[in-house]
Amino acid sequence: MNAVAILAVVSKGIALAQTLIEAGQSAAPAIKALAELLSGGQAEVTEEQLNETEKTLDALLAEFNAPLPEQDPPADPPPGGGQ
Amino acid sequence: MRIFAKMAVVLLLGMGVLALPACSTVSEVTGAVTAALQPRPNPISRTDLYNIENSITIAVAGLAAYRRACLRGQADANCRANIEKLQVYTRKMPPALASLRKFVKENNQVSAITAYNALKDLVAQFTAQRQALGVT
Repeated sequence: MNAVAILAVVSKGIALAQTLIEAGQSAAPAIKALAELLSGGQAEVTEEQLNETEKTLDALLAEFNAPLPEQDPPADPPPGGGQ
Repeated sequence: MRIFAKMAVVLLLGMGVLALPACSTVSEVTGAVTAALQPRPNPISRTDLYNIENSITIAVAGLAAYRRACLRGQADANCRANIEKLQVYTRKMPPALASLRKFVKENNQVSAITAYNALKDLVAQFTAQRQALGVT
């Protein structure tokens, strides 16, 4: 495997790790909340907790549901076609 | 029985978010949301609402991360098309959630169950679409 191929694999791994970390950071409070509730550590959900969860979920849905920005058009070929 | 179902959901959620690669996270977590919505609790309490909302939050957190990676050019080649197809379903979630929240908080159980079933169907459709797209 040449250096360029290795670099591509490493780069892809870093991108994947970044995505995982972002997903984990956003999801962590929800996981913790579910775990606490189901472990019996909390008897009743408070209004504040419910509102906080709803606020987080609404923000995430708004982010995902936003229209995707326009893609940049492909760059024009250089004069002479690069030949 | 309900406790066992909840325990299974937590295990699924934990595995989906913490142990799998990013694309699989979307897959596993949305599957977990489907599991979280079955069987339907009766009556639907504030705690049930809290559980459902947290489960969907975990799934949407994975999708939001997928979208960010896509915009950075770090996701798969079909990510834009995949996101737009999934948005058909996720854009129906806010009004469905708003109805469920309203009815649960008013303790209008008949309407809450209807809203719950509508949300459950929506999540099932969303999961099927995600599988059809191969966002796994």
